[in-house]
Amino acid sequence: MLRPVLERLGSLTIVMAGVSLLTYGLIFLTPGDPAYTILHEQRGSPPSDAEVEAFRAEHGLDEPFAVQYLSWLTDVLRGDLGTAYTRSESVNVLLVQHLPNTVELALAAMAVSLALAVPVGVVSAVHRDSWIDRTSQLVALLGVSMPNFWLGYLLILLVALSLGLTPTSGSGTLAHLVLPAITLGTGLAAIVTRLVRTSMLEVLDAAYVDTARSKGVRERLVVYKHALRNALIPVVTIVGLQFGFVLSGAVIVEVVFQRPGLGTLLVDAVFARDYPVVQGVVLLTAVAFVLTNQLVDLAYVALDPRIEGGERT
Amino acid sequence: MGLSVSDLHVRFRTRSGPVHAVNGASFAVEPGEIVGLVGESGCGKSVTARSIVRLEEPGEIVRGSIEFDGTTLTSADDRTLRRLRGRELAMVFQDPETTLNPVYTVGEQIAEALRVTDDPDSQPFVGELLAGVRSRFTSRANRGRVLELLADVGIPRPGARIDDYPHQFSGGMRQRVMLAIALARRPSLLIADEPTTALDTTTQAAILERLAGLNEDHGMGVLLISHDIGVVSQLCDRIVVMYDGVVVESGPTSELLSSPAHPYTKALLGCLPGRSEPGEPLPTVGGSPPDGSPPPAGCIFVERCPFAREACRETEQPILELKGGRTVRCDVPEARATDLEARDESSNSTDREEGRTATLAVDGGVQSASPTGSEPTQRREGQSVLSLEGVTTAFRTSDALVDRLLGTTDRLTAVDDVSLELRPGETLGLVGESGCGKSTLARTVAGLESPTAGTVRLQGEPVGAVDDRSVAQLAEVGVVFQNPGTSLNPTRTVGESLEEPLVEAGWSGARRADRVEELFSLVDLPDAYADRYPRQLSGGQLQRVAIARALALEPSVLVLDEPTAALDVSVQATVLNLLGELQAALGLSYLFVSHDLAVVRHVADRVAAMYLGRLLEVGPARQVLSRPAHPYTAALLEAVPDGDALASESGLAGEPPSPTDPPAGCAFHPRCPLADDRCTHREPTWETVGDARSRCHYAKSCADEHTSTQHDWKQHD
Amino acid sequence: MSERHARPSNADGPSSTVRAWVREHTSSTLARVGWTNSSVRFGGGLVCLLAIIAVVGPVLTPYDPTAQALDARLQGPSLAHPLGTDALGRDVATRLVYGARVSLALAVVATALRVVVGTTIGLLAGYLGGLVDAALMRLVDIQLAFPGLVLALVIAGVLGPSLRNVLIALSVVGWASYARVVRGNVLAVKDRPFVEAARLYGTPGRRIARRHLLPSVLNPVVVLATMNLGTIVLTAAGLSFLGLGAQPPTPEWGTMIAGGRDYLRSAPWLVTAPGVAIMLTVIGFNVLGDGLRDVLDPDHLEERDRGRS
Repeated sequence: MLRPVLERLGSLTIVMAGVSLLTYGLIFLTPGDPAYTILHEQRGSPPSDAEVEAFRAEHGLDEPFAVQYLSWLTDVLRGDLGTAYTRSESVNVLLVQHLPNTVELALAAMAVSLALAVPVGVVSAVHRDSWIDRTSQLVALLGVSMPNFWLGYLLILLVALSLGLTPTSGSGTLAHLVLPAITLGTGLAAIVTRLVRTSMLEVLDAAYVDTARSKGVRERLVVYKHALRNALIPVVTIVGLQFGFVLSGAVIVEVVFQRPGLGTLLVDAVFARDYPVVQGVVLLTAVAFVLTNQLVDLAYVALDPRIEGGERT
Repeated sequence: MGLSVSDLHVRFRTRSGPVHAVNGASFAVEPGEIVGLVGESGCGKSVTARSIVRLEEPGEIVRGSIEFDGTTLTSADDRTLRRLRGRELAMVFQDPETTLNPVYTVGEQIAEALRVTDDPDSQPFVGELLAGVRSRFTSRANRGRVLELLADVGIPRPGARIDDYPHQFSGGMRQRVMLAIALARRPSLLIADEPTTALDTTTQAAILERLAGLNEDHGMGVLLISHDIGVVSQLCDRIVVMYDGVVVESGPTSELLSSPAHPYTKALLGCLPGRSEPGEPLPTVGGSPPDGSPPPAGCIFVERCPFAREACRETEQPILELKGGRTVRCDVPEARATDLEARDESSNSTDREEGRTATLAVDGGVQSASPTGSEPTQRREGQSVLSLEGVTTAFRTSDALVDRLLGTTDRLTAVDDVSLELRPGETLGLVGESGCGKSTLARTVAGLESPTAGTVRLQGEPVGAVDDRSVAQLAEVGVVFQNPGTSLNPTRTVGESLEEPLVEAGWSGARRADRVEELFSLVDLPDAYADRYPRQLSGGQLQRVAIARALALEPSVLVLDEPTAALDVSVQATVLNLLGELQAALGLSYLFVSHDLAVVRHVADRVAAMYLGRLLEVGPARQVLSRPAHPYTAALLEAVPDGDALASESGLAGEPPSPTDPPAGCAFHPRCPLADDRCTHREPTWETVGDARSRCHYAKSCADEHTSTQHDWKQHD
Repeated sequence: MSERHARPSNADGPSSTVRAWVREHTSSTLARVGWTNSSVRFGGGLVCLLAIIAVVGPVLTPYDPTAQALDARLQGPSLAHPLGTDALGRDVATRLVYGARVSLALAVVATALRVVVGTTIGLLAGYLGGLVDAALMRLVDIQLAFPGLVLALVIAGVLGPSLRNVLIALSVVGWASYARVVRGNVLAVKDRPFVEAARLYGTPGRRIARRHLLPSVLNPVVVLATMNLGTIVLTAAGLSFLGLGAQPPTPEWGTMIAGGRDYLRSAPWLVTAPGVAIMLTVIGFNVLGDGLRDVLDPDHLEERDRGRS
């Protein structure tokens, strides 16, 4: 019983170690000397050698890579992500400030899309090739094919500018959340609809569904009791993986609606080469993503009695 | 009253045009009667069964009607259908792996059937959903009834199993749960679609006995759909034979089996290995099986019928009523009159024993590559083409990284200390229940697994796994797998697949082309097939290609792992005949793995029976299969459905124990009817009984006991 | 016997594997079924049309995509400018046509790199198994631990904004899905009797991988790659929109939307037109991928690999 847990923790540790190494190592992709480039970027003019030396010493960039990485990692494990280059705040504070907006957006988008996608997917599958199915398939196709930043501007144009129903940008109120959540949720809803439909179609073909029918069970119960429960098992995994899609999408949607969140923080930091902030945001999203998937695997155990102790086949 | 199907037509729309699955099937099942519906794959028997409970989708019933107790099912509304399904008509499907819902406990799935039966029209939506979420019952009354049902279908310790999920049950136990679901309805008719096809013969015998018991106790009618005439004849009062979607013949079991009237029934019965002398070529059905294209204007069997006349082509054959409640769909008197024996006579000419021994001696001398192979008597160790000495093959049960690094894991001993030899030109049949290690043993011989202990010798030389074998050693052994569909690469043409072994052995292009041509003719296939892809060939043709590939490098040994298990009986007959001819012509030695004792009896010179990785009995086929000196072999034989009285379930109670934790003493003792104290403590040594050896303390008394209780189908010996 | 190691005359490199695949799929009924599949026809047609436009389009338009014409700023759609002009007076339709070249080329090259890297790693992991498998799969896990766009954004940002760096970033992040799919398929095929048969007559491991495993995994890879082309078009446009990809004045769809957002109310066509172009392209790839999946991969690839990039 203990072994699967230990194995899982073991592989999780390896993955997290790799994630941290990659996150820290990213700044060394900077063309030329990182310190020089960063200073150049920040000032807009070439820095002097002395300034570069001072910057290196201040941020520990003069040490060998292994030493730098280990000292960064030690700090991170202690909960200290360092100080931003371009502002005086610590990265921790910046993350705490920006996180709630992104969480709010992600949750709203996921809630909206799941509430819409699961029923539509089921109905599509049950009434395969009906007009409902065709329409929802077409809408879903448009949904997955639309660039979300473009959808955001269309919504701003129609809802905010023409109708004046919501603010065009910013955050804070529910009205501020509506358009970003729809923008971010559309792609997800489209993916989940298609997925639920495919999964349902597969399950509706399964022999145990015929068994249920042959028992004399009502069709509605055949669908919702016997088929849906099984069809949701793969959907749960994918929705967990889609959390990454939501995080990615949030970056762009926040920029479109100028919401102060992790996405805008990341984009600004990337352009300003404010590496401690970049590292902080990347590490946070990766950890959040990995942990979500671990939670999904736990949900899996609850949903599928065939899986015990977290082993999945 | 009862069930009557008349002129049923079912069609499937597919991308490549409609498939005509059922083309006018008519038959009836009287209340309390057990009727068998037999036919080869694709004959429409399953579709017919599903149509009765109106689960024919995605097929559609285009013509005909199905009536049950006065209700026309073909036009019944959903509510009526639900009531009938919930109370009168129960269905059991083929594959118990997939027919139970994996996310609900078996208890809940049975209880659901009970609730539906109690009130088919109520079924509260929310209540039912909640019932699914709770894994245990709150209703004591239902729990009691479910326990009763589980006990009724023979599930041991129902109290401990009721809250288990389907994946925690073995195939046989799941099929029993399916039976319990069916019985929960107290149905007046049970439709069982190949209920035992996915199971071992021993488990099959137990399930069939249950069915018979239920029929007796509850007066429940049964429609048993099966490809296996043995199964059907064992259980059924009447038999209905289908071919290409049409019922060609029906009648009481014994009459139909002893004097079949329709040419197809005759052909089908003739192909059964159990009906011919061992080693003799089996009668076969010419032509190719139906493929779902629109039925011809005349008789559906006309293309393959040796008695066909011009008139048969043009006019549909009428259904003739014969005496004794029989019907046949054939209007040609000679066709109906020719009896089975006459057909057999015509194809059997030489006396088998003499012909065979002569060939064996000659080929043994000419063909055998070993220098010592020229002596006529082949008893000495060095003359075996293949010998196993104390071979053990074990697997790790976990492949996880941690286990691999620490070396901490249970080992599953699939093959346990097996010593065997294969002599030139002989066929050694390896039999046993599924999971007994017979396939692993075959794979070890072939080199696909490496033994963890012991030695495999090929022509006297010890050999390892494939990677360690020399080109010559690799060429010595050919392997034919069970499923012809997966044994050829789907992305390469048949010709390319055949050529590959030659390429690897470094043959030149011209020589390869000659050899491929030769191989095609060896297995009776036109060499135009070289350019086809595997999916363009039928199962039987694919198996021929697989055999040809196994022969490519002129091996002396063929390892045949259930080579006909995936084939229909008529195709099986042609493949078995081919194997027989090849053996005679090329002096091959066969290691023939099969669960089907009728097939083994037909092909094998010697038989070895395996259980839990151990060899329990070895000896000449004629002796082992008629006077088994081990209770396990006896139980296997008893389980063979053969139209006789049903095997008693006590013959082989329960299922094999887990190979990771084999029982002490004799491995077979927990299931053995003869077991006593000695067997639980001391592992038996080999006892010699006649020409056979058995690993049983009571080998002699076992053999003596079975001498007197031989079954009919063994009388040829 | 030395013959055993001699290179056989019907030898096959990766290219012959692909040739065999093409031959099989053009000669067989499957290909005919493929063309009868309406999704394949529609999606394939759309993609072909876009490709043709990207290739010959520039010849058809009288305008230069980058030349500014300040006297013709922000003109609405007209006969001379069917999709209007932008803030610098450039013809939007012309810029869209040139943009198609950028988007399609980027998508094709990035996908090709992902396919090669991912397939190789998947084959190695699946076929070799053991520690190699464990190590490679941890590598895959690490890559998949980052939300696709976030990692691509950071890589492209750190390397410096340019189209080339977007290409590098997109190639670095997407290969893991291929590795997973290929490994899964290899594991499924590896123990099939036809592969065991090949071992039985002494086929060396590399040739088994090339001749038996690779062709069996090509179908799902082709399907995944087709869908992936669409995803890459979307992601690349997103990165350009953020300012990390193509730099002005290069005509690129994402950049065009970014440039048009300031004129959302006055010149809505500046945002709408490139958006529609992106959408049509992605629809083409998605529909083609769906159709190919129905035809080539009846087992159905898991949907999970499409939301990622």
